[in-house]
Amino acid sequence: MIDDLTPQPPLRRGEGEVLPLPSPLPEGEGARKVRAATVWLDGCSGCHMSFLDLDERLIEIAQQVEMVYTPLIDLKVYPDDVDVALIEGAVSSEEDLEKIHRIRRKTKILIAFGDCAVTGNVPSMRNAFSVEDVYKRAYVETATLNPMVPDRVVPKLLPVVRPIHAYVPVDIYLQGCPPPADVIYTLLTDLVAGRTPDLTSATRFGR
Amino acid sequence: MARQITIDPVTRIEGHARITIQLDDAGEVQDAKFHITQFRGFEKLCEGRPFHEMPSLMARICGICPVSHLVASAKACDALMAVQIPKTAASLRRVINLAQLVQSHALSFFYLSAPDLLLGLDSDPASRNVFGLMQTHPDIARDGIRLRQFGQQVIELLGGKRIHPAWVVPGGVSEPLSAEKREAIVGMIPDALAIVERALPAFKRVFDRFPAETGTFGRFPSLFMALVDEEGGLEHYDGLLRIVDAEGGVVEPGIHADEYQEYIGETVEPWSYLKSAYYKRRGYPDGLYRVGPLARLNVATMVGTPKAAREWSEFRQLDPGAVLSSFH
Repeated sequence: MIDDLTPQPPLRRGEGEVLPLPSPLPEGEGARKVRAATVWLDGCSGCHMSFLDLDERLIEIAQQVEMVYTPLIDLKVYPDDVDVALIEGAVSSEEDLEKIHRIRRKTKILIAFGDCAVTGNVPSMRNAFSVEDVYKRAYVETATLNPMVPDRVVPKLLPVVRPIHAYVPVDIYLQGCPPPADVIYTLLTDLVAGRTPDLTSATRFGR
Repeated sequence: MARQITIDPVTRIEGHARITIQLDDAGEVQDAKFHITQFRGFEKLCEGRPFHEMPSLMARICGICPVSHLVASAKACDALMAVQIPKTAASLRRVINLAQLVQSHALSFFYLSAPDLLLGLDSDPASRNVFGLMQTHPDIARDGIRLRQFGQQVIELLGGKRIHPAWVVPGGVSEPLSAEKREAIVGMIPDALAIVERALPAFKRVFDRFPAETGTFGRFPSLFMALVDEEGGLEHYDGLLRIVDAEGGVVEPGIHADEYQEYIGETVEPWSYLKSAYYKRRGYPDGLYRVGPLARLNVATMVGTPKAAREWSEFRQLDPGAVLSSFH
């Protein structure tokens, strides 16, 4: 199925139905903070930098959520019971694929974060070429010494690059290259407050 | 007993990497490897696209330093078109490049390294990070946020957006700088400078707590490569590439960017997606060279502004030749 170039329809929660998002707010007295995570797959980290462009609002967000995993901190394992996750980047390698399935299992609200995650964007431009030709250009044609395709320790590239929803259901799509910091802020504060965010007029592809 | 330690993932970097360390039977480090585990194929996916798309496309190599890729690609396009860009455009490209140095260095120092240095290298990873720093050292965290913000705001004022600004184009920049925006940028400088002047002495005091690390972390003789101007002074946008050795001796005085293929080669290692660049005249691996802030300070023979020159001069006292430890 991965080798099949036929476009896969995005997985929907229910045909024609608008379902309310599960609120990430834990119920009950003395409830724990919202458990938030961010991950980058095959991206450039620009969406994460836009997240940091919250500037001092980052301090405010940090008080309302518990960051349980992000490349910006030194934790190695994506934990269970993540309430909200911002996932940047397309799915390009076998490692990305394994990660996105694991992340989906452990996450309540999964946000495809930025154009690479939403449409494939720049990484998917390699789909115009065979993966063999992509490897050859970098590691054979332009190598001065030892031309060869790396094949130890590193994850193999998938034949085509796909966005996240080609493999797992996505709860929220946040477009932009990168999505503006103000929209990220609105989205996170809405989710923490239990509101369903409406992003349709807030941002768009390729901005 | 011989065994392997794996650090996976490497955190607080852009991109994806793991480290494997081989210990011999005596528990001593026999080998260590840094494996880059991400590869997108920019050198192939650009084929067939119009050349003038390249700056904005190459920006997407990295969301922290898109300006570097925009500038390098735009300069290549200038050369393709065989044009000299207007002086004002070159000056404006310099300003956005400097703004990027400020924001990316602020990110590296305050968000990614400072937590380890201030909270202790062995403290709990769950709080040994920028969010932990917001609790334990709120003033320093705020300083870091504001310094990065300054750099990002200058980029936004010049280029229209903070990340992947399409303003740097083949032939120059796409819009001039208005008087209002110039005033705004100038107005932000005093606070940004004050942050740096607070942070530098604090950072120097931190070294006293890490004598072992300073003495060993990334501390090895190597070549260093950076841009210099005609006087051999610190450069960042234009000029010539210069290579010095660990003693600070000049190995290659000035390479024009368009001659780079005569001097720089790349080799493939089967265990990493990153190719290893090397100085061809010394072959591989003897020709390995370091680039970046440490290299820039080692290669330059002078720095053109008084406060920076004083700091640079003091920095170069750390070692008799080139400063070797990456901990600095």
